[in-house]
Amino acid sequence: MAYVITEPCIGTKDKSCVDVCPVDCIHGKDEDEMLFIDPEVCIDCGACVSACPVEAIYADSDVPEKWQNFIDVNAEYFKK
Amino acid sequence: MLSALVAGAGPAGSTLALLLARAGKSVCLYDRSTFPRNKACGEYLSAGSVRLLHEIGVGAQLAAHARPVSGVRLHGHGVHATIDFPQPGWSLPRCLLDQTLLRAAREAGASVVRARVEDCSDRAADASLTVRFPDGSIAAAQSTVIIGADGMHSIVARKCGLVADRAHTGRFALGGHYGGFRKLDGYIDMFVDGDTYVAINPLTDTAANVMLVVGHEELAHNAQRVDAFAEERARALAGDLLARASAESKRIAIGPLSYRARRLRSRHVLLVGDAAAFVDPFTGQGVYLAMRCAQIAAECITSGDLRAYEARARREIAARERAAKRVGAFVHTPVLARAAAPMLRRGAWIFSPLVRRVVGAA
Repeated sequence: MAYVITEPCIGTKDKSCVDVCPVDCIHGKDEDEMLFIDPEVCIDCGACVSACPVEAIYADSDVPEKWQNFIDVNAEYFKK
Repeated sequence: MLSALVAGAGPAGSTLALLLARAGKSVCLYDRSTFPRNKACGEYLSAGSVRLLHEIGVGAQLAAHARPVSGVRLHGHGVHATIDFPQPGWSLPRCLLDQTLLRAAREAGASVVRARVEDCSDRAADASLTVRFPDGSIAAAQSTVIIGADGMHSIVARKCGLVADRAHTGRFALGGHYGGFRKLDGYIDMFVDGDTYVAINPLTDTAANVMLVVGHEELAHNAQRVDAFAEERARALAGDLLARASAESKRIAIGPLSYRARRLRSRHVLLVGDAAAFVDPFTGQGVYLAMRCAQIAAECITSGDLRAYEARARREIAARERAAKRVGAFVHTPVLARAAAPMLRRGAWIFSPLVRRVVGAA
């Protein structure tokens, strides 16, 4: 299990989540349009969820249907 | 308009929905998860929690699945001490507890909806809760009472301005089930090293809940290999007891283990359970407080006096926090632990009132 960042982050990139992550698994370069969670490192603590100002972060089991593709989007980012 | 909307279907939310439904209120319970779900939890229920479960009316059906816990053995700082609880507690799989309370709420007439709470606003005449359904659509519902039972990362608390800035550091808990023990008895074993500890709570003769609590720095330092780190750290602390056992489930984390809402109530909104205050898992008080605050909230809501909730719930929380702090100080401070050990061995007389408070028997 891991948490997943979804569409509302696009164009927001608030980065509050980055500050609260205990294992530093949330990344995104300046040129990226959103932030991403590394599912291999995420420990599922949920600290990022309430830090997000736009409710973009979901547990992978609870990602809304229309944003399911973001599960792969997050994982793929770290395979580059 | 429904009488009450409850955000979060853990022990706090389900208990409250159950009590309100029984009192004839129309209530809707929202949770993002499908049940049964796993949660990081020590899976130990104090005698006080067991008493509450019986009061609520689910004790008898849970008793068949529970295993009595007679006390705690503390190991650390060169000290081994056994504390016998004045009354036994229970070890009980958390998913079973959550599922049973939720089912009871549903049977009492509460409606249960799978949706994630995304916003909550408190207004002059009522409060509004915005939720997102699994298909991604959004809806808002209004009521004169909305309860945030959505955990230590509560969205309701944040949106209603009931929480100050959260701590980003502190301790984190990493828990999981282990199997393959030789023969577990009715005691929780707790191995302490400074602020770090591992607690082994037997669920059956051969399986146990193993929970490691470590500081943020240590976790961050091992960020790229958290699972291996937690495994090694637990084994190093627990020694022989864990030697034959192996992990049977993925580790689940929660943290930071320090959170407290600034206020527990705004005009039409109440916070219960971890959303109100998170107590050190060392004391096994989280579920007790969740259910006790839910009881108090139900009384305040049915009597129409929401104002009374803040002070009553705070008293309950403060008593648990004080006791947790005192026990924590003894356990985590080597000098005090050594000083206390002989007294603990002599039947824990000096600790009795304290232990009674901590285990919720008082």
